[in-house]
Amino acid sequence: MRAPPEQSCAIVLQPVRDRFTIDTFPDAINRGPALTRGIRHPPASPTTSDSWKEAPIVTEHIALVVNGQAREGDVEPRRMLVQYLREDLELTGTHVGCDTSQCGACTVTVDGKAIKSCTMLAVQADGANVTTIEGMQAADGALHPLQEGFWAKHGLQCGFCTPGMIMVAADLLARNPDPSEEEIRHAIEGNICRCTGYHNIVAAIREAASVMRTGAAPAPVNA
Amino acid sequence: MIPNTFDYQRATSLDEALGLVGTPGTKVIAGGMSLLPLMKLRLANPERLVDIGRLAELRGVRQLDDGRLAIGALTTYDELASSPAQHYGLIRDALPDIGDVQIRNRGTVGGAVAHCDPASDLPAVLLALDAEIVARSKRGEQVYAADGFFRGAFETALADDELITEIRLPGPRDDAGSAFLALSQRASGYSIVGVAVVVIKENGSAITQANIALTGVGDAPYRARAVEAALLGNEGTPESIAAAAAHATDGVTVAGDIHADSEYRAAMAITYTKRAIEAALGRLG
Amino acid sequence: MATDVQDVLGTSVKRVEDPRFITGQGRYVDDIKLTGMAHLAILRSPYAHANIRSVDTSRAKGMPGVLAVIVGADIPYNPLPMVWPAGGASGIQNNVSTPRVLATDSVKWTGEGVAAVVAETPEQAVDALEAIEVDYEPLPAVVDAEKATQPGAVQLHENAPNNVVFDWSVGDKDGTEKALAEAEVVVRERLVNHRLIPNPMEVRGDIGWYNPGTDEYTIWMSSQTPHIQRLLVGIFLMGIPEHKLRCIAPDVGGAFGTKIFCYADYALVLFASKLIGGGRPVKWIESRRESYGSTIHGRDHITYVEIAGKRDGEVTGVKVKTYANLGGRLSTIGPGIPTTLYARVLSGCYKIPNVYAEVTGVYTNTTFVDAYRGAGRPEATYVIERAMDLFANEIGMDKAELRRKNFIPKDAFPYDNPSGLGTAVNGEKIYVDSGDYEPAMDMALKTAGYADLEAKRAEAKSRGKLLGMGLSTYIEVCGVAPSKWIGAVGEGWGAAMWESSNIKVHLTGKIIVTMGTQPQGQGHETTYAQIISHELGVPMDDIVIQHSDTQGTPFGYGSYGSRTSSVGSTAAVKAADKIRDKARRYAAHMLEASYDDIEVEGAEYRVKGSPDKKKTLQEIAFALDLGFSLPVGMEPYLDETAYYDTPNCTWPFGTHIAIVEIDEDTGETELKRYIAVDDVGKKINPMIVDGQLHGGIAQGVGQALWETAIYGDDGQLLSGSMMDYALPRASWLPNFELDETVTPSPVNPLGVKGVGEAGCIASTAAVANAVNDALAPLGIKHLDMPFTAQTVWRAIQSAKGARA
Repeated sequence: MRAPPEQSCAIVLQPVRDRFTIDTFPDAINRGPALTRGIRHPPASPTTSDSWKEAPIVTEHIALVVNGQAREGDVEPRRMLVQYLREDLELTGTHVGCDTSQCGACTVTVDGKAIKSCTMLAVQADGANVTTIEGMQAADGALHPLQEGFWAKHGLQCGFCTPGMIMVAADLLARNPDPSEEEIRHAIEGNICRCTGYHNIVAAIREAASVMRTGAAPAPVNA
Repeated sequence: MIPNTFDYQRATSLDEALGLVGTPGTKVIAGGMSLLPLMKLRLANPERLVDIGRLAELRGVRQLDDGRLAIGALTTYDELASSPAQHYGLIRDALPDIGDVQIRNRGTVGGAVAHCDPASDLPAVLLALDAEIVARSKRGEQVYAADGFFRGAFETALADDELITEIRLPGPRDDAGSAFLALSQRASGYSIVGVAVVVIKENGSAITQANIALTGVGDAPYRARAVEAALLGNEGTPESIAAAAAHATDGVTVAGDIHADSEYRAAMAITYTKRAIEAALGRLG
Repeated sequence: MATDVQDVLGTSVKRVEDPRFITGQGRYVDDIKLTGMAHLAILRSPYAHANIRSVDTSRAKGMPGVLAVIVGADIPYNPLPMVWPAGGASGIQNNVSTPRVLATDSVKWTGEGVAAVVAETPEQAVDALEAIEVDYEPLPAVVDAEKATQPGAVQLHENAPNNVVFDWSVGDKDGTEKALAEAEVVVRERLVNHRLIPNPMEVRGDIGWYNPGTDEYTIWMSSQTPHIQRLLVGIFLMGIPEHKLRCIAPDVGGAFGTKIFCYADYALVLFASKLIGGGRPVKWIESRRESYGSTIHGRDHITYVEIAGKRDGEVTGVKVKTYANLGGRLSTIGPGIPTTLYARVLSGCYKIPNVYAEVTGVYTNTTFVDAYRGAGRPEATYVIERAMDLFANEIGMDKAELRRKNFIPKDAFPYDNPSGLGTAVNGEKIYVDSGDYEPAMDMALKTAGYADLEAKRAEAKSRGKLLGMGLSTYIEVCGVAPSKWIGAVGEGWGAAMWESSNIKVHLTGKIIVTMGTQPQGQGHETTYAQIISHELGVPMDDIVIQHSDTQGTPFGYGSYGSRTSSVGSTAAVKAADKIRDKARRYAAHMLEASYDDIEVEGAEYRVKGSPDKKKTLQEIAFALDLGFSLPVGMEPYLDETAYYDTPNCTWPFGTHIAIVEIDEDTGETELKRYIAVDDVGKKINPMIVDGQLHGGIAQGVGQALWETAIYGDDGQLLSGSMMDYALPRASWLPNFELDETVTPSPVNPLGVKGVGEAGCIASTAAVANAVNDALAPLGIKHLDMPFTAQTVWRAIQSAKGARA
């Protein structure tokens, strides 16, 4: 292990992945002339600090469709789509469960395909058609078969991963209306659930697939 | 979780994009599947992002007149999976286990190639296929052979002002068999060892060409020349495959980390090379 | 409503909380946005061990949007409370060092908070963190609990020589040593139960609000214990009495123990809100990477076990020495886990006459360790179940038969451990309440095809795979505990462990139940409603369960330790009893009959022999609410509260069997089948019970096969993100094959036991035994978890090398 660098760091010094730690991460990632690590805009000397307080936040204008509604706004380029959905549009059903694109709690569909909204800039979604968990119900409020399936089969416990699970399952069923258990398990690999052991999530997605395929009503659970 | 600030410019044409790249502090973003996580951890701190994600001319897969396959740099893994590239056994093997559905929906072929993660699967696939990487800059077009392009961890032969526009694969042939096998690091899904194999038997039973590429093992994906040489001319008996595979890490400094130390990684490089050669030969029938 | 209301108790009704979660309308802490809310970010130590020379915040204070920068010296509070010392009343010395809200002089692990920024936006708060300059004096670190106690080890705290937090013991030392000395066979092994990072999908977070107009504090917290936090954060830490602090836990996205505790950030957001003034709330949301260092870890034991017995399989003694890693400073109940909750259940479901355990709690330069799902009991189960397998292998006896021979017989309950594991210093005891262990084991063996194990092994071998089958005949202790026992041993919160329920039947007949417990995904709103519906004959739709807000719910100790269904549910039953009794008294008044002549069926209160003379609960509630006609001495309104202190713990048990296959050339291990037969007593909602088992099994399997927190020797957490810490994913797990036996608990009126932790307690040992069973033909006696491909491959290589 290399010793931690002398200066403080916003994030605890931990490996980033595999063999790379924060202090051993190849500089090649910042291709071209080496870029400054850490923040770029603090003043060199605190005496000019007041001017920084008034530094304008640069924004970009975006317009997109979210759950069938046209939305637009100004966002900082660094704003992730998930933050735009949660903070700006106050659609808090999409969750943040990690910071390395592992957990899938932030999954929404963009132009019909499941993506991790924590790993997409809001500016990248400019012009896109986004569906979040809040957009899954029919106009009359009827639950989507996936929502019904998760409810009927006890596919959720704490509910935190559930919106992402439902959205990634929607992507699966759009491609494959009759997935096997193995195909379901593979399709939801990018989504972590810590409560259910996935057993009932698999059952829920199978149930929903069956309903969407055949129109058959779910078997009663309260029997 | 929150990246540093940066300026954002979205290119509306390839020419415009070529005018924007190459200046200090500029990074190109396509799908962002590799870059954005690093920016969120503040490991990558570009001053300016040039978004080439909308350049339709860089998207899609087409068959060239000579039978080769041209894959636009912005083709996603997901699009690749439903393209003629599926005819290549090793691509069929590799794609379903690259990232996850969400990442395959956003991640681009060109992005993976330019990023050159030392544990990324696609570069190994391209190495084994003897692919060509086509780049453009204001200076013109440059065609790189995959062999030699991947130079180190996150380092390629690409110049700062160049953009990858296309990946070209040789045309499929009946006398070739290919496979990709990987041992994954469980948490990240990246490969501890990934092996891409193309074997060709031009006339009858002897191997006339073998392209073996490994990822995850060294600083960058590489061709295992000694394995290839050992396979030439033999018929692919279990013993000869094992003997050839034993050279999988010749000349390579094998990496080690908490998931796989260099001893284990080297051993798995050999085991997986053996299995991947067997699988490729199996497809050849 | 009347007697035709369907009895839902014991049925798998769909959960009433689900509609909000499946539509994105759950409300977790980070979903709450308050007027004027500011945002806080915490600077955390990059060093595992260092002295802090100085902290320069001047540049950060000048950053855009920054409202305040806080360092440890700004905060006037004592270090955080630690309220479960190891066996305090028996005179055990606990050398206590707990974290401060922000570190002042030194840091003891990577991730300890050093400074904080409050800013207008989360982005500005995080940006400003990088402008804080901390001058550290780095010190050498120690991360291994056993090494930390050796001479010459790095010392963390002046009050803890050799880094020892406590030396604690339980059981019959002389008897056990005699049993070992006289035994025909003694098997000894060193077992490592490695460190885990719990990883609920919702990270922690909180919003603190100080209202200068009322001098009152409110905190929204992702917590399992809002009532206890009102005491710990309020009184113990900040000096805010109960009537000035309100704690609210909104929807909580999983916890698994991590959200029981008193964390520094609770005080920090409240302090910050008051500091920046204007009645502005302050929100802090942990990032996942931050969480890996700042939220508790679990397990991390090094254990030396000795198991003694006769060649016919009778186990006569078990002696254990455990080093429990508790981290750089103590978490809220850290010492209680490897003592009371671990060593006191070390004999498992076996009638072992002599048991003795010594536990040394140890400081190391790592994140603090506290209760993670199972909390002590998975560690105990791992030790005894591995020991039973090792003993069986040593004497050449079938592993199932060895267990059968040593089970506590079904006529021996209530069972008092002869070595005194359940006995407090003043003689107060807990007993194993009930059990019948053989049927569960036989069912599991049959389902798994245990009789054909060798044939399966041979078939797998022909495919180049090593097959193994592992048993875990576990026992759990739930619903800790009788307050008098907890108080007597000086173990536990240093307080009581009762629960509470209030039921209000409103004028319209609709019922609002408030509970002292706090759900994090377990479906309390459903199961409590099922109980109240059953008790009062009212449809579930007419009942709502409220919880998790100290304003408006009766005091309760919260949800952890699988205590809700036994202790909490009984409180609800007792409150319903009171409602029914008052309704009956009032029905007698309304119907001009005597109390004894009123019979109750469902929600109907009628005069015996006169079926037409009846009142429904709704009619009674209506009249009682109006109060126009009250009998002398009766208060208006139908509103009753019950507090329930359980007379004993409950003791679920069962047999879990894992079947694994190992690739001999690569060490890759696959879980092929998982069979679980559990006896958790009666079930309020079988669907929810099964769900708890599924999740627990997956977490326990995760520990055995993939999950591990790895520290470098310098104290850096090397598995520091989800890219390096492998949480179980869907494609790695099979469907689980569940079955049951039902032995109702005699401890409570519902006959329930508890199930939140059972899966996790049993499954780690089952998988560990399966992997070791698969490796046994190679001559491998014991391999420690986690069974990563590399670990298993290396064991196979060295075994082959040794035999070559």
